[in-house]
Amino acid sequence: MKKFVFYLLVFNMLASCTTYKTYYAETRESLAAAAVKNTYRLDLSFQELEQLPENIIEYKEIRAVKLSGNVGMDMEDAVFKLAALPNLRVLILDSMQLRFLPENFQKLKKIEHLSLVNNPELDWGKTFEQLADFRLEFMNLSHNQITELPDQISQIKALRDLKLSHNTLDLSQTFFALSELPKLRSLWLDFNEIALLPDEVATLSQLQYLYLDGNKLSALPEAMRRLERLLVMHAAQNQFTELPGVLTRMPRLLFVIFSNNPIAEIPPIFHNKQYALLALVMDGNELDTREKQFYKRMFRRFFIFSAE
Amino acid sequence: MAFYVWFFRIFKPSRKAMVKPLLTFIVFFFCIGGVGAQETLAAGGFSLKIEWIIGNQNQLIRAGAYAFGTVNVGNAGLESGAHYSVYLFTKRHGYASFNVGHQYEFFGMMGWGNNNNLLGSTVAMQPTLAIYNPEGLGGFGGIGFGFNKDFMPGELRKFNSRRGNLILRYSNSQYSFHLNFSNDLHAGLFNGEGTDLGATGSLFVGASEIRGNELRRLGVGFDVFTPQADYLKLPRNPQNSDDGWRNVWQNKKPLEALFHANLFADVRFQNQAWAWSGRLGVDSPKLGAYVQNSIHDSFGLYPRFSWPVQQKDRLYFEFSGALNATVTNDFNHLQE
Repeated sequence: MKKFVFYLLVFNMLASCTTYKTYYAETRESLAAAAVKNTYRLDLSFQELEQLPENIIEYKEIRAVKLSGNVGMDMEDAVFKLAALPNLRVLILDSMQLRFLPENFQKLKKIEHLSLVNNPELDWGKTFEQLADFRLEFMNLSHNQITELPDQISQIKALRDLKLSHNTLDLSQTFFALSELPKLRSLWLDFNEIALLPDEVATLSQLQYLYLDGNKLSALPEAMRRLERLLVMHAAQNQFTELPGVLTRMPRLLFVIFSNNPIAEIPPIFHNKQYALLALVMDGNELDTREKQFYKRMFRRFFIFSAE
Repeated sequence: MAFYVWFFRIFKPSRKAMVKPLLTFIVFFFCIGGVGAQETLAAGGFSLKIEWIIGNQNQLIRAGAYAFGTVNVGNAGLESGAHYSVYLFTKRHGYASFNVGHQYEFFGMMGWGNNNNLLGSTVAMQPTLAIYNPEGLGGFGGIGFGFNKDFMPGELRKFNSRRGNLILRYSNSQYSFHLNFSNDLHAGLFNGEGTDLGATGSLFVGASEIRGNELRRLGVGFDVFTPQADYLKLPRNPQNSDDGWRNVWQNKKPLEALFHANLFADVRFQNQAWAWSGRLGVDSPKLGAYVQNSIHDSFGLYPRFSWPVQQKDRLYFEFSGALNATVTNDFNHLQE
């Protein structure tokens, strides 16, 4: 058993070393024949391209391609060429004025990271159907003026992390749709003009990381205590005037960021220390100096406490 | 003993940090003392040094004192050390400035063995030099905790956070092997300051050998230095964000781009009167990002730091020469 765990750890380390090529490697902005073997990342954004270069199919090591801003690009041709890249995992298609993904997009099933930021005219229902059996782990749908998230999103079963920043979502409907994603771990709902978080948030019982920054929240629903797996919550730049007591009733919540809220009070329930929380960042609050000192002492057992 | 009393008096703010480790050691000491009337042996040493360090990240002249002692009751043993030094620097952590800083370190270990060669002094992070007794006996296996802090002035002041240490050591009469993990984590006996900035973490694995009257040491280490996160800004820095996937802190000025991840080999030589040491390795932002991202992503406790992952690795080197005056209860290096 120990041997198995050891080999598993070693394998995991080696496997994760692809990060060096996928995200840390030099990003090239054009294709040069001399670099065929050493090109792992390609950024062709905002180059007014209508077609991908023919020779891209020779760059078999490419892991990440950015095509953002090329609004006139022939997407069917682009997908045809990208499908010839066996190691492609990251595809960034931001600000491309897309209305739909081409039918041959199915050829890119190995993609793990897809960004469709600022494509507000995209047919989301059809798009999610096309992505249904992809290996997608992360999808970025920020800045798309989405108000209703089509139910078809629940078909992308592999999805772990979903960014829905800068939209204006109907949350109850969104939460029901997302509750069908068994692997959903992280959800970004920052800058969605949320004033009230509906009780349906509790349907996301699989969620571990929730980002609610830049909204208009002043309270959290008691139903959040049913988010039994939630480890991390960010709610900076909202309108909280006191630290929500429900944070003490969330069984696994460890790390909370509440910076830039007009917090003038920390309720007495935080004094009893019978909760999971171990890190709290609430800089930019309205506590006075004496209170800050008091809470610094009170939260001294925390891994991190900051209330500057 | 006088050095210890002075050390505790001077660093009053650190008393809180000492409480838990000291209580643990005291309980352990009484436990082993209660086993029966066994032979108790104590050994210790004291060292003064002046040292010149030159490297591409640190350039300084340092003067300091180091005390180390052991107590053995039967086969059980306690070891403890305290170090303090003052330094004049022209470069610290890669930042050029002409100024004066000071630093301290304290640690204690408990375990089984019976030793008076004092090789436990080699586990300390800050002092380049150790205290040893070439005529002493060895044999110790144990675990310990400690803490250290560096007080830097000026713009470096914000990086003055205490770090906790976890120490493992095994030795015989001639050789000693140790591992020292240092981090500003604040949890249980690990008494870091919980600030997550500056020299947040390091790992050092070392071996020491007494050969004749000389001490030779070899080790490998990895240490990480990060700037201060700006908690007033949302963690949406695109740098090291995996193309927008991960949350990454913005950094607080000044020194918002001061990153180091040093992976190095460390060689040291010491005899009665003088010593030299050398470190050679790479300062690799990619490696720093890989290690720290793995921790932050896995535990999910924190946004990432904005490591400049597309920056190429740089050479890291540091050399030092030192004069030292060391005495132990069994062996006087000054006379030798």
